[in-house]
Amino acid sequence: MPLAAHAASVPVVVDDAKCIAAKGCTVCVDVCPLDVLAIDLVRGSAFMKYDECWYCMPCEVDCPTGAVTVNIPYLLR
Amino acid sequence: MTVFDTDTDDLADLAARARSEDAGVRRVAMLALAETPEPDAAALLIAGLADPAAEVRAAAAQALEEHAGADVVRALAAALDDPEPRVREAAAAALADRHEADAAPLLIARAAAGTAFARAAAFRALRELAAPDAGGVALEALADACPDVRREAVAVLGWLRDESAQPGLMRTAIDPEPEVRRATMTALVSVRSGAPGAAALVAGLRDPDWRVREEAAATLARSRLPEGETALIRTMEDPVWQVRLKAAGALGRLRALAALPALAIALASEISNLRKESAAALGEIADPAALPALRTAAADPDPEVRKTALWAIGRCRG
Amino acid sequence: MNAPVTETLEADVLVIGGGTGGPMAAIRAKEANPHLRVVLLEKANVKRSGAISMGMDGLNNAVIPGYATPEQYVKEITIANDGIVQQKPLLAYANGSYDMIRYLDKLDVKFEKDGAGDYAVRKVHHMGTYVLPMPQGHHVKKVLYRQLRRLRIGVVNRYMATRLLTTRDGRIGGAIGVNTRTSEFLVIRAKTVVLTCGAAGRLGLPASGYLFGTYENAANCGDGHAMAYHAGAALANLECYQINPLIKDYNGPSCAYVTGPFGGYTANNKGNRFIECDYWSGQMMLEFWRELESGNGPVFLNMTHLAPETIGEIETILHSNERPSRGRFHARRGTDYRQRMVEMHISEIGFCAGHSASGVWVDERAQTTVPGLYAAGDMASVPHNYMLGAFVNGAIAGEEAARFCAEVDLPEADGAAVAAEQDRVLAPTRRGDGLTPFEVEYKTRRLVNDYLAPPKITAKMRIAQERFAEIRDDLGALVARDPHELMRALEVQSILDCADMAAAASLFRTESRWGFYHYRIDYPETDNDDWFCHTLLSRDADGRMRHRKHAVDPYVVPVDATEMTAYQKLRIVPAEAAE
Repeated sequence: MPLAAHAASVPVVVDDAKCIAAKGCTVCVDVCPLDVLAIDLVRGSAFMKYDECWYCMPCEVDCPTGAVTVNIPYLLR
Repeated sequence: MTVFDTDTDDLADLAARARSEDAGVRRVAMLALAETPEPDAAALLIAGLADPAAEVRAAAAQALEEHAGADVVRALAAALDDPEPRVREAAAAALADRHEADAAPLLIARAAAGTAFARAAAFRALRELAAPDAGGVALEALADACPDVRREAVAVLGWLRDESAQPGLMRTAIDPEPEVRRATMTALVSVRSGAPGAAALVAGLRDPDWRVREEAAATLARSRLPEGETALIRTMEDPVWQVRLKAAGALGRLRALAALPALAIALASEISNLRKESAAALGEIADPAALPALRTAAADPDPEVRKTALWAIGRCRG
Repeated sequence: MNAPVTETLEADVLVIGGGTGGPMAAIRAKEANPHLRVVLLEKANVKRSGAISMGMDGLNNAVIPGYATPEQYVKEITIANDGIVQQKPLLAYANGSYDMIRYLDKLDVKFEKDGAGDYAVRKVHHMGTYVLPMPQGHHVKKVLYRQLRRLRIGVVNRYMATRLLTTRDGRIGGAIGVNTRTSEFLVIRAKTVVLTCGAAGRLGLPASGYLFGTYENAANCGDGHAMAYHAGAALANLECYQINPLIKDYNGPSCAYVTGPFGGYTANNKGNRFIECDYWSGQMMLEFWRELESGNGPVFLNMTHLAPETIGEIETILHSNERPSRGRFHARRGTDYRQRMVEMHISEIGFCAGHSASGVWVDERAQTTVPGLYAAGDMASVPHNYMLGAFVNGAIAGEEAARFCAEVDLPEADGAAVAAEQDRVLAPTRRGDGLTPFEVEYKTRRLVNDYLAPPKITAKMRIAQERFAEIRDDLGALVARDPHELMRALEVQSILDCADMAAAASLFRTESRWGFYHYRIDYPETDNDDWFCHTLLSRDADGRMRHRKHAVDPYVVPVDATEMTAYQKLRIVPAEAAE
């Protein structure tokens, strides 16, 4: 059973201009209960790696620079 | 390797990052220092409050919420004068809700003089400490030009439950700002029957702002002042149902027999919440004279009203 | 193949689950004896984990002197659970409730207070009063985390416990965990273990079809229930599901406890109240479901009659606490509380003692049936826990575990058991292709909805069992390409265990009870002669599910017949409900 590559829109959006992951910040990645965020080392910013969101918002609320926005996943909207 | 997160923050490394050339790195260091329980971490954060970059100072102020001690309180109190609003606000939030009783003298001094923002924040921080020495400065602040300061000072006096403050609260009960008047009604909860503040609380039922009237009625329900009875019965004709609802609750708590006709009328209100509260009040009063009206309410289309009426009928039958 | 990287730790008290009850268990164990090695293991990060990751907007079950008595509380919860309760743990909770509120207050958790600093308990007439609002309750996790640091409790984040270790004589011996980012193993030898893993909330599939759009925090997927089961502990009354009213599609709580005191209420499509039941219970959910299915459905949360100022206050509370994204959800749909009622629905099924009653069987000392193993919070069997119950019972568990440590030696880890578990855990990483955790989880949970959700039908539940057995075979084809997917692959195995337990427990009790929670079409009557008892499910020596009845202990707080009957009169006969 070979695996397919799935595309999905992700609810958590990170504004690269505001994200300070390059300075060593990992707040949003640390606080996510489902561990779905990660740091893109090349771009130096956080991103949503897995579409497994409880839209609970610690990533957005705890972000020190207001770089993170949690949208409601499309299937629920 | 250690698996413990609580052990991983190396203070020496954090100290180096806190002194980095790069403000972004310093800011992130402040975030990490929030979670480092050592006193040295607090010292680094206090130093961070003097950082040239506002975002570092704001992060330091926020992080200090996690630290205790006289030095921390002093530094945060000073940061209430920071030129940057977000730093001041973070410092105010970090000062509020502390249970450090020995911080009171410093906060009292801060509440006595300085900017309106700093004084309001100091009063906010003093409220839960309920330090008797704060009474004097709070009384003086009741005449402050800034409504926020007056409101926070009123709250401090409420928590102190000091009867000698009541003449001052009688003045804020007719303050030009509705929010100050409302806070005054809240603060008068510990007023005893016959005390000077009681009249101010009852007069609050005639305030032009409905939220002040609502708060006065709610406070009368808690304090059960018998002198409120007549005014509360009159309040059952208030144009705002939310006010009538609180008045009904207060009349029930007062077991006000004279309120039966007014409560019976309210049982026919088109607002089901008010019908329910009135039925409950009649149940609290528990007088058989209410039975006819309650029997009608027992067939109300709203199940909450019906259930409450049935309960009240049981009480009225004794 | 290289041996997996394995770290070993020793602990006196190992707490698994860092949400609500877990941190409190660790804190109280450490306070009871500061010399103990207390370790708190968390699959996510204790800063923001569990049901209250964003905070909580109020206490629903605060037993505060002057407003309610412990006896009154025990009586009401007994009635709400159709009499099937162990009253001693309920009473232990109720007796500890006020002390815990003051303890939390001392730690700086914010409760609503009146103008003189007294608790502003919301008065509700004709029953005990248990609602204490927390308009600034978004600080709860921060406060817990601060206390963990102050006491220097060893916190291990991002390790998922996969199995408990037991000794040859059946006592607890520790646990095995795997790092969710590196797949490194951690073997913790422990004298005692406290399980606080939360609800089994990823059991049914939400109506939206989005796997993680669950009512409960989606990380709470029944790991604790599964671990307890495999360690031989008994689980109680699993047929008494949790099903909650919620905001449709958003799937978050409607927060009647928040809006109620302000005058908001649950209404049918005519805008009228319809709920007769006084208690949050399966009975209430039966009324709710009946209304949904009737011509009066759907059901709404109505606040349109409230003043704009009041609604502003409600919005501030609801949009800054427990589930703050609800404001965003409403905004996108153009739902303004001032103008439109908010459509509600009922949740998918789960196990959760927070609002319901089922879970790992514990006594009034939070002890499970395995010596040295304790449980608390949403996953333990004390009914209607809510957040405060998790704190109180977590504290009891921590203190009892601290005491038990003094009596026992640190057990050796069973090397063979560790090796076998490592093989089981890593199996999905050793396949190049196969079935993804996502597919297996979706299918399992879709079948839970199709065949296990009430109204329950015997023939359907038997089909579910056949399908679950097929999926169990499919587990041999699970593939995980990274440590994150491995976590999901392990979670789906817990979910499948819980699904099997839900089916087996529901089939065992051949009557209807707890309103909608255990409404069986082919056994519509409540049968007190045969079924006025708990049901306990456990694993026998051959690895099969075993059931037994367990008598309800004599009540310590008597409930007189008229009180019980007054409640029964309000009941809907299930046969009517089915019309």
